[in-house]
Order: sequence, then structure tokens, then C-alpha cells
Amino acid sequence: MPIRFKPLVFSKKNAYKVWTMFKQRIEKLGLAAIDGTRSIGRISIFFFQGICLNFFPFIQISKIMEQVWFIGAKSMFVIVLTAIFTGMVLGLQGYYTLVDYGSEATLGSAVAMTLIRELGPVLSAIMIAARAGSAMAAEIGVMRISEQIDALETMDIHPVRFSFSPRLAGSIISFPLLTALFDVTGIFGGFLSGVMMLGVNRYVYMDRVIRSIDLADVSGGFLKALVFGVIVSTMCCYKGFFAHISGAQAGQGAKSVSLATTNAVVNSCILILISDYIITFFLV
Amino acid sequence: MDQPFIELIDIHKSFSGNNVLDGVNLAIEKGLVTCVIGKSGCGKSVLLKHIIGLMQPDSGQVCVDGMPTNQMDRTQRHSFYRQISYMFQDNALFDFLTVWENIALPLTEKKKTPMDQIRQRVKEKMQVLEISKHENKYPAQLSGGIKKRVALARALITEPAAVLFDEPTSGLDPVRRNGVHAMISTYQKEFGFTAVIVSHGIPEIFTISQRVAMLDQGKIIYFGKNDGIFQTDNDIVKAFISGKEA
Repeated sequence: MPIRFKPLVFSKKNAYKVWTMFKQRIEKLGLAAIDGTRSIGRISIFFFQGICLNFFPFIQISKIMEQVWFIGAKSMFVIVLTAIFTGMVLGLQGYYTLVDYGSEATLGSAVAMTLIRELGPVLSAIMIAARAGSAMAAEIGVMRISEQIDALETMDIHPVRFSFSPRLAGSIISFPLLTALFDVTGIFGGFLSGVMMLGVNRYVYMDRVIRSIDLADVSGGFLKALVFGVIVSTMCCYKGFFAHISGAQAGQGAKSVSLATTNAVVNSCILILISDYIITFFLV
Repeated sequence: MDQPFIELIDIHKSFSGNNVLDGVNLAIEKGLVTCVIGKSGCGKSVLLKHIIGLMQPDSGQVCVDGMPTNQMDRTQRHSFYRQISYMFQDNALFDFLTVWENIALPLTEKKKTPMDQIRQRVKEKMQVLEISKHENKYPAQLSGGIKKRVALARALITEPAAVLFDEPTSGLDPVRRNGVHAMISTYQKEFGFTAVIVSHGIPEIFTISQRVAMLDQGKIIYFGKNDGIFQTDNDIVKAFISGKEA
């Protein structure tokens, strides 16, 4: 039998009920706004502490290098794999779109511009968020719930400097390099499908690639990669660091770490896409 | 009585309306071992976390040599916390660092002590605690007893004035429990630090401590010398140490 809901009729009798409901909604909205503002404040302080503590009292070179190895070198395989297929798909789709207009010779430009301006920075950032960002959030989350972060405080070691600063620096170094790798591999992927499979002239393809790219495109792509690096490392480390707060309703155990990890990756991806639009808006 | 090293005055702390500490007063004397006993979940660990500054009281004061920590400036507060080490119930060892790196961590992170001195101090502590052969292992490769010793070595590496032990014998068998108690007692005598131990190891814990405090329903209901606890008239204390429900 279908459930029948009694319609709420606005009358004098239930006016108080409606008012209470309305008040509760407003209260909830207010609480959410306060919570949101508090989170923005906390994440900003966290980020600035992370930046400043990279330099004080001394630069943690070996830890930063470890993170470059983990975030950068260990993500290379995923990046190459994603880039080559992205490039191949672009080559394929581009060719069949351009051939209708007799412009298949411009395939190199289409692939290169799309990759360098947009897909390279965005897709590599999303892939690194999924691979290294989730690991960052989970690792720091486990440190939080197993009291290792408290232990750092009792040893008079700044936990943000210990857990976040090297990861932030590692991301700032790794993201642009991985984006460059993505771009080059993606162009090669386009070459594979466009030239090797569909018969576009190889010299024309390469000539179009070289002639269509200017410094502003490359630097714009690197700027995006840099911003995405900051976003991914900050969001993922922040979610892990405060796993006990954001996962409070889930208890302070494995569940809160899994919640923190999921939120970290989802929020990072959303922020990457939003900031991509904002940066592109100012660059074009 | 002399000025206590650490004094808790009328400490109140509640979590979501639940009063965990409800006017705690406790004086910890320098160079002595003070043991805090009480039922599970009565707030013993919360009490320790107030001493080391991991938690701040809702009201009340923590005083060090008569000076409230909330009136100290940043430098004073840091220098006080640097004098205290904390041994966590679950050891809180870093699983991505080796035993050597875990023990040396409080010194290597600061870069104030030359590396050869750090090596010397870590070597000494590992020898005294008989964990030298585990130097290159990771915490996951160690037994519970060895992990406790590594955590103790890390707590002692900075040569602190006070060490707070949060249930150092939890999860250990009676033989290892006695071993850890003996270890704490031996090193306390050797290094002369002030110790505060939260423990359920009754009555063994009374043999290594000079002062006993019992926490119940957010209040210290007994504080005195270790041998005095057996003569107390308090029914709750009597029932607790004999393992019965009050």
C-alpha cells in the first residue's frame, strides 16, 4: 500500500509547528555556516603553518626528497599510463572530427593544446590525488588515531612541520614535473593513434605540435599544476590531521580514517575542477 | 610540606556534558613515584594529558613549581613541557621508523644535539633497556614487551625531569608486567626523574610507588603514602584494591 503523507495545512492551529520547523532549518543552516567558516579558518592556518614551518627552524631536505620520491617518482607509471591513453583517445576523436572538415593536418595542434592547457594539469592532479593524496590522508589519519600526533606534541615536535610541511613541498615540486611528463606522453599517445594508426603525416603532426604551443600555454599549465599540488596536499593532509574531528560521528577509529580519506580525495577533485575554471578564466 | 613539582588545583573537564574530572586536586612531589589508580574510564589518562598540556581544563589550574601553566609565557611553557616525557598506553611508536629512529626522534628533529652525541645516547639507552639487537627493526616486528621498552627509551632519551606513564603494563602477562614495573623503578632510581604512573597493576604497583592517588567519579578520593592505602577507611578504595564492587 502506498504511504500517504498528510499535507501540512497552514492554519492558526499549526502555525507554531511551522514556525518551529522553520526555526530549526534556520538554526541548522546557521550551524553549517559556522562549521564551514571554522573549517576554512582551520585549513588556512594549517596551510600557512605548513608553508612557514618548511623553513623554520631548518629545511628538511631529506624528508622533502622522500616525498618527491613518493608523490613524484612513484606516480610516474600511473601518469604515463593515463597520459598515453588520453592522448590516443584525443588523437582518435580529433581525427574523426577534423577529417570531416579536411583539417586532419591540425590534429597535432588540437592534441597538444588540449593536453597542455587543460587535460595535462587536471588529469595528472586527479590521478595523483587518487594515488598519493589518499595515502597521505590515510597515513596521517592513522597517526592521529594511534596518538602518534599527540606523541609528537609531547616531544615538543611541531606535528604540522613533521607531517604536512614535507608533503606540501614534495607536491609543489612533483606536480609540475608530472604534468610535464603527462603532456609529453599524451602528445606521443596522440601521435600513436593519429600518425601510426590513422595515417596523418608525422612531420605535419610534429610541426603543428611545435608551432601551436607558446610559452604562455606551458607556463599556464605549470601554474595550474602548482595550484593543484597545493590543493591536493593541503586537503589530504588536513583531512587526515583532523580525522578525529571530521570523523567524530564515526568514532575515532578505522571508520574515521576511511571517512577522512574518502573526503580528502573527493574534496580535492572538486577543488581541482573549480580552481581550474577560475585560473583558466584569468588566463584566457 | 615542600612546594610540589606539579600541582593540579580544582581541575574540571567535561566531554559532551559528561563530567570526567570534577574538581581534581593533586600534588606531585619531585623525585617520587606517584601512582594513580581507578576504574577503567574514570579519567586517569585525561588527568595525565592535562599535566602534559595535551588537554586544557575547563576550569582550574596546573601549576609547576607554584606557577600556573596558563600564566606562563610561550618560552616558559615550552621549557616546562620539554622537561616532561609521556609514555602512551599503546606506545605511539612511529611504524615507518626503525627502533633506532624512534628513540632518536626527539633529538634528531631538533638538530640541537650533535649526531655523534645522539648516537651515543641512543646506544646507551638501548643497552640499558636491552633492546640493542632490535635497533633496525620496525615496531610491527616487535613483541608487546619490547615495544614498551622502546617507548620507555624514547621517553628517557631527552633525560626528562618527569615521566608520565599511561598504563605501561596494559596487555602484558604477569611476568612482563613485573618486568616493566621493575624497569621503571630501576631507571627512576638511576635517573632520579619524577614519575606519575597510571596503572591497574594492583598491588604490584604499590611496591614501586611512594605516593598513591585514587580517582573516582572525577575526584581524588585517596591521596597518601603507598602503605597507607591498606589502612584507609574509605569503602570505595578498600573495595577497589581488593577487586570487589563498592
